[in-house]
Amino acid sequence: MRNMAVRDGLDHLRTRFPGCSVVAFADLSTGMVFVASTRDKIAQERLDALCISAGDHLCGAVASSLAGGVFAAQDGPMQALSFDNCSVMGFVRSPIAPQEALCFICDPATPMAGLMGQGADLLSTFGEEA
Amino acid sequence: MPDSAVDDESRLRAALGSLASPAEGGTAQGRLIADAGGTKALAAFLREIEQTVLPRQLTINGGAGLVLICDVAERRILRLGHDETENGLSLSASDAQDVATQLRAFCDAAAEVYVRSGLKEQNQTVGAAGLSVADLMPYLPEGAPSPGQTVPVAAALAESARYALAVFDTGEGSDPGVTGQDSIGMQLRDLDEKHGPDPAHQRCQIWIGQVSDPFAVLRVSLADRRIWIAFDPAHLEACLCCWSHVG
Repeated sequence: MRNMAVRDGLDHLRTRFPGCSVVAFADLSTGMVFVASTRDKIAQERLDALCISAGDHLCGAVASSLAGGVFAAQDGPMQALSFDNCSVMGFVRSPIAPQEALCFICDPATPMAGLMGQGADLLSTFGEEA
Repeated sequence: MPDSAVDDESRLRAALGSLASPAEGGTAQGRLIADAGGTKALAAFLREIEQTVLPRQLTINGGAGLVLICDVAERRILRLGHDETENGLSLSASDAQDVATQLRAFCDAAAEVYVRSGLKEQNQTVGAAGLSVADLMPYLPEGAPSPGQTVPVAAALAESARYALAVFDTGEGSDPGVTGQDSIGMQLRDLDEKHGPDPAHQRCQIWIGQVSDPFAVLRVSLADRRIWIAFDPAHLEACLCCWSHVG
């Protein structure tokens, strides 16, 4: 039941942002994508790579350097992005369960601040349902 | 493919220029955006799409009964129809050729082009992938704005001065330096000494802490240069716009 609720939440979030093609709910500790909502069919390898990238950005070397120093939280960054002129990948850590995160693949024109803010809100509801 | 067909510096310059120009004539048909058809009308239409971020319904009037109704959001055409009472088809990138053909026919037949713009509820635009100007470009004639333009690093750095608290730039040669707040700049320099460029060769990365954290961090990894910028997360969109087109 929880997976269905999560999928509905991901679908709803993705379709609110036309430039967003992928929203994936991932476990950073295992490097696994639990559920994903995609605009087009996407290879599992790409989802796996997205999850690895989420781990690198939210828990990797730079994130560790930022934790407890530049950023107050010992868990490190709450959000991260990787982007160029073709696409944006966004990562949002759950404020309730730090090992859980949402990963996004978007067009460059997507309003990422709004998307990731709503992503954090959505992650909070997953925590409440668990 | 980039979603936007014109670089952000050009878009910003055009927006500022339009503020400084006399207002386009407003009539019962809407605001005059092109005083001729053809390429001029097409360029004006594409400019309207490029400048529309919030969900809007654009009514494009080309005279002599020519009307296009477009639902637009985030610089993408979500639906296109000919009548306010019809919903129009939900569009995606696969419709680019058909839509480009319709637009060319409309613009070729138009004598002048007016636009009326109305806000659209966000939930009325849900479910459509949409079609960007960049998607249309391969099917449009010369004269429309060209996609893929890049911004020089110097221009992005100058633009960043609006929102950056500190910058650490390794420079193109051997001239690294800090600008802005020294203490934050030193933290950025320390990060660069510890981590250097991104080992996965990703161009631009941003890290954001909690709401109480005073700044976010951007790393730009270029071939022989790295730029670290501390900025207020409230300026995230400006930062993304500024650096995503750096070439």
